[in-house]
Amino acid sequence: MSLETWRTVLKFFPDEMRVLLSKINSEIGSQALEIRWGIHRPLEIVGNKINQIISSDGEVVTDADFGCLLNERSLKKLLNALTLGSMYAMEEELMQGYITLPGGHRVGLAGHTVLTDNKVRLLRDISTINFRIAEAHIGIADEILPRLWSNGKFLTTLILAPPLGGKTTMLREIVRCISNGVPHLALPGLRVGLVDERSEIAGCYQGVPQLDIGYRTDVLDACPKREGTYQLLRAMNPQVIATDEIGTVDDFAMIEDIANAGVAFLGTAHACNLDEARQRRGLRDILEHSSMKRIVVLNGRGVLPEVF
Amino acid sequence: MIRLCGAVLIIFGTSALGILHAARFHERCRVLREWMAVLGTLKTAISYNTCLLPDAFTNMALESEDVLFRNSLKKAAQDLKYGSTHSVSELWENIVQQTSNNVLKAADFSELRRVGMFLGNSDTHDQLEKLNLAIMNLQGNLAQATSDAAKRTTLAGYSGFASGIMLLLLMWR
Repeated sequence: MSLETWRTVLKFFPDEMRVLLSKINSEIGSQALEIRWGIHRPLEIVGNKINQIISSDGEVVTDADFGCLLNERSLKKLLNALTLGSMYAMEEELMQGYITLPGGHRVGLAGHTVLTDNKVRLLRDISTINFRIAEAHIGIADEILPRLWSNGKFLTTLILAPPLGGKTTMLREIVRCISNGVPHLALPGLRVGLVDERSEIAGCYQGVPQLDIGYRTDVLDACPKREGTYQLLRAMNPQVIATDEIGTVDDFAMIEDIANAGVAFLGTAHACNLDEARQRRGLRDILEHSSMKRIVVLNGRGVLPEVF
Repeated sequence: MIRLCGAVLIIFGTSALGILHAARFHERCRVLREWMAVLGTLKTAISYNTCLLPDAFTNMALESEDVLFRNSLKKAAQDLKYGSTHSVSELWENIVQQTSNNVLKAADFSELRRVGMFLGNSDTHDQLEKLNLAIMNLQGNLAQATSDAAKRTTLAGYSGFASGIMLLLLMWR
């Protein structure tokens, strides 16, 4: 992440917290992917290669007891600053456990859940937050893009990576490239339908994508994968449908339906490698029986992905 | 002749003071009516639950005809931004103070402050329930204020005139 993004992120925090965060070493700030904090929990900066506890002076400490703790009053202030004092307007997002901010950043929240018919209706008494920093990584797919195309058509592809492995970032970049086309690789632009179930890929804020996903991409934000996929097939005439985190038996049927409609699919799944993916029933079906043509395995940020 | 002019002036003056005093009762009714309109707009904004409070405040400011309401709502909309240190209840308190025009009573203040305590911090259903209750209570206050105004306007007018006569009598005794 760039230092500029880190500075942008700080603007979302109220004064006293912004002062503390701005004291953090810029090298740590520029590597941060998540800011985790909670009531009576120390401030933690998490990145791909870092996991640092921060003291109230903005210094890195090893002992959690010396970390800067958050009290209830400060958390209330922080939530007020992050929601513009409008929790009611975030109701649907809160049911999913997060809110999306301008710039596509997402704040994950945990606290007391209120259930109706065994479904989370609302989240109250919030006690922890996880500020997930969004940033586009233009160019990270350049190496693998030519292998995902054949005769001007995009091949159905699955991206595998462990948590924090950069799946969503890679998916977003591939979607952008498919949508805009890549002239220097002679890849034409295609219409992409993106089902962004958790507002993570396009980072939509009030329905408008905050991250670059290409100008031929139609987004269904906060929409369940299955419903969204069929809606896009009916309404938007996509050439590629993309979505995040597949792996169930239902997803297998969905991918088959997409292929039967003559549309390519691009998705991601949690798994460190192909062997681990095959151990999950839904994923095994997708890998062995579906029309999946390419598997991209990410081995962590900065490491060249493998394509099968 | 001069005495007569003086007497007329005194009676006019005290009567005018009485009428001005009576106008304050009507002013409370007007401010309460304005508040009810504002809360009605707020209710609509919240029921369409994608409208954030700063946008709701801006809409309320645009719809209000009262300059005090317009300015204080606009200011609150500007202050309530990402990273803001001001809480909604603090901003709401400012709006209440700036628009009261020194005519609201303790019961009106406590009702309006209660809105500031819950505004924005729960789900739509809860917000609407509480806003409905607040509007209902303000309606009660308004009914009381209207009846007070009707009674006291005439009384204040007469009192002003009567105190003018009294003053003249004391002066000429």
